[in-house]
Amino acid sequence: MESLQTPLMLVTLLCYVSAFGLLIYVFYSPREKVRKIARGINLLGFGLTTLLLGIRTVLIAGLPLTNTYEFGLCFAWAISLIFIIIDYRHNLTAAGLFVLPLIIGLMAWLITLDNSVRPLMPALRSPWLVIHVLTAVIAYGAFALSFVLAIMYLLKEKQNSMGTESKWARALPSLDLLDDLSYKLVFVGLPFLTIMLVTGAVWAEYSWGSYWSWDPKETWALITWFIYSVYLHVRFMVGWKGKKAAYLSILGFGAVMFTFIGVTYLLPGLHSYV
Amino acid sequence: MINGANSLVNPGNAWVKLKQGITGIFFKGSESMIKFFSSVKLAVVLIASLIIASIFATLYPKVNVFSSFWFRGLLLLFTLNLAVCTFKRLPAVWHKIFRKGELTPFILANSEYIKIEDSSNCAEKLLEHFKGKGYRIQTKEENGQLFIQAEKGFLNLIAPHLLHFALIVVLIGAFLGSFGTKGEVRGYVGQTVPVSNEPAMTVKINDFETLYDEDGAIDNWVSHLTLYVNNEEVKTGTTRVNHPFKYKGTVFYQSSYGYTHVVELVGEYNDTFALPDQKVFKIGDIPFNINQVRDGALLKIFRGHEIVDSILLAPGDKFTFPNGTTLTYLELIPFTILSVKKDPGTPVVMLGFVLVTIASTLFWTGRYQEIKVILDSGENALYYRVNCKNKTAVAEISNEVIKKVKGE
Repeated sequence: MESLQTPLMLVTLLCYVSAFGLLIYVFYSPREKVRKIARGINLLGFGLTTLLLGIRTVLIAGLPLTNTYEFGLCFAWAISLIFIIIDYRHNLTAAGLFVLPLIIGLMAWLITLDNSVRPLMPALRSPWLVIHVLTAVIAYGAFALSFVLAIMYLLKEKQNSMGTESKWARALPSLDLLDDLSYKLVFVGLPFLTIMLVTGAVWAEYSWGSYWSWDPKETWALITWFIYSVYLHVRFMVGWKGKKAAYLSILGFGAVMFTFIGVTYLLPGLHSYV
Repeated sequence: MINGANSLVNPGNAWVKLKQGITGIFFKGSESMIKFFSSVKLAVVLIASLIIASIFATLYPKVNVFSSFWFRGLLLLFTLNLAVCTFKRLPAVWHKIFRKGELTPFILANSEYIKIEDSSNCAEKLLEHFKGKGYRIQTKEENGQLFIQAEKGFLNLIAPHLLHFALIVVLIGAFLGSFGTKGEVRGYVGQTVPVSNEPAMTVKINDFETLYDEDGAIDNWVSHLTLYVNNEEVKTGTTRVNHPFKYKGTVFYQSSYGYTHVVELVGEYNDTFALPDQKVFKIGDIPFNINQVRDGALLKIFRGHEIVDSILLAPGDKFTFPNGTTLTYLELIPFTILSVKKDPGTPVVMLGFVLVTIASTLFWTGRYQEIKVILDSGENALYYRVNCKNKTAVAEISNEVIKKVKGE
C-alpha cells in the first residue's frame, strides 16, 4: 500500500490541475456546465486527498500528523475542504482560481518528499500530538482561505477603482462578501492557532522540560499569532476593514507559510521533524 | 506678612489646596497614564516591535534577544498594556453581564420602526419569542411605553477579556520562572549522584532501559530512580520522555543516555577497560567498536569503514583478534542524563494556559446579541435596534422580530 501513495498523489494533482484549467476556461467564457464539471473534478480531488490520508492512517496505524509530508497533506486537505464549504454556501467557485494553485503547489512539493513509513520517535509518541497538530491544520486551512479571499478583494477593489467592467469584476463576488468571509475565517482560525500554541507549550513542558524555548518554529508560530491578533484588534477597535484588512491577512498567511516551510528548511531547531 | 498671617490663621485652606493640587496632578497623571496604557495604538506598536525583534532573533540566533533587557522591557510594557486594557473594560462588562433590577428606559435614535395594531398582543408574542430563543429579558413600562431589552451570548462577550487576563497570568508565570533553577543529574546505573541545582537532593539510579514497541522501534527510554533529600529517601519512580519524574516542584526529565562496556583484554594489553558505546578502538591494526543493540552488545570489526565481522556478546563471551589478543566481555553499564528543573512559575503558566484554552473556545459560542425594543401603545408603533458584531446575525434577528410582530 506504501507504493500506492505517489501514483495516487499524481492522480490527485491531475484532478486539481484539470479543475483549475476548466476554471480558467470558465473565466474567459462563462459556461455553467463547465463550471459544474470543474466543481465535480475538484470534489474528486478532495475525495482522493481524503483517500490518501486514509491510506496513510492505515500505514502508520495512527492519525497522519507526524511529519512534514503528513502535515502538508492534511493542510492541502483542509484548504480543499474549506474551499468546498465556501463554494457551496456562497457559490464562490471563482475562488478556485486562487485556491487551486495553492493546493497544486503544495501537492507538487509533497510529491517530492519522502513518503516512506518510519517509526515515530519517542518524543512524538504522545496524545498531545493529535490536538497540537490538528488545531494547526484547521487554523492554517482557515488562514489560507482568508488569504485567497483577501487577494480576490484587492483584485476586485482595483478593478472597481479603475471603473472598467472587466472579466475579474464579473467573476468575483461583492467586496463586502469577500471582506466579511476573509475576516470570519481569521476569527475562526485564530482560536485554533491559540490552542495549537498552548497545547504545544504544555506538551513541550512534559517532553522537553520547558513550555517555551524560543525555538524558531515556536517563535514564528507566535509571530503568526501576533499578526492575526493585530488583524482582529484593528478591525474591531480601529475599524480597519477592506483593503487594510486584506493586506494584514496576506501578511499573516506569509507568516504561516514561513513557519511551515521556511523555518523547516532555513531555521533548524527543536521542531526538526516537521 | 498679611498673606503669611492668613496662612498661619487658616492652615487648613493651604493644606486642602495643596492636597487638591497634588491629587489633581496625580489624578491627571494617572488618567493620562491609563489612557496611554489602554490604547490599541500602543498595543499595535508593542506587538509590531515584538514581531520585529522575534524575526531578528530567529534570523540571527547568535544575538541574545529573548533574554535581553530591552526585550523583557517590551514584554513588561505589553503586560501592562494588557492589564490596563482588561481592567479598564472589566466594570462595563461586569455590569452588562450581571445587571439586575429594573431596566432603565432608553432612547432609540434613528432606530427601525414598525407600525403595529395591538401592542399588548405584540409584546406577548415578542417576549415569548425572545424567551424561546434563550434571551435574557428585562422590561420596564413607563408612560404608555414598554421597554424590552433582550440579550444573549454572554460567554462570547467574556471571551476576549478572559483571554487577555489569561495572557497576563501566563506572562506573570513566565516572570516567576526567572526565579527558578535548572540543573542536571548524570550517573551510571547503581550510582547515587548529586542534583546540580538542588544541594539537598541526591538521586540513586536504580536502572536504565530502552523500551521497544511491537515493531522493534524504540518506544521510550526509562530511568528508574530513588530520590533522597538530606539523605532521606523521599520518592522512588521512573522518568521517561513525555512522563517526567516530579517531586514537590522539582521535575526530572529524561535527557540523554549511553552505555559503557566493561571488557578484559589479554594479549596486547593485559587489563580491564571501560569502553564507551560505539567508540572505535584498535587492537593491533584492527579497528573495532562495541555497540549496544536491542539483543545485546554487538562487537564490530572494521576494515577501513567497512564492517567485516560482527558478533553478539553476552557477559563471559570471548573474542580473539588475529594478533592473538583475547577480549572477554564482562558487563554492560548504562548511564543516564537527566535535566532537572525547578520553576515556581510553571503552575501559574499552566493555569494561564487552561484559561487561554477556555477563552479560545468561548470565541466559538454564539455572538453577543442585544435587542432593544420600545413598544409605544399610544402611537401603535414599535421601535427596535439589534446590536451584534455579526452583520448577518443582525439582519436575521431583525427579520425574526418583524415576522413575529406582523404575526407571520
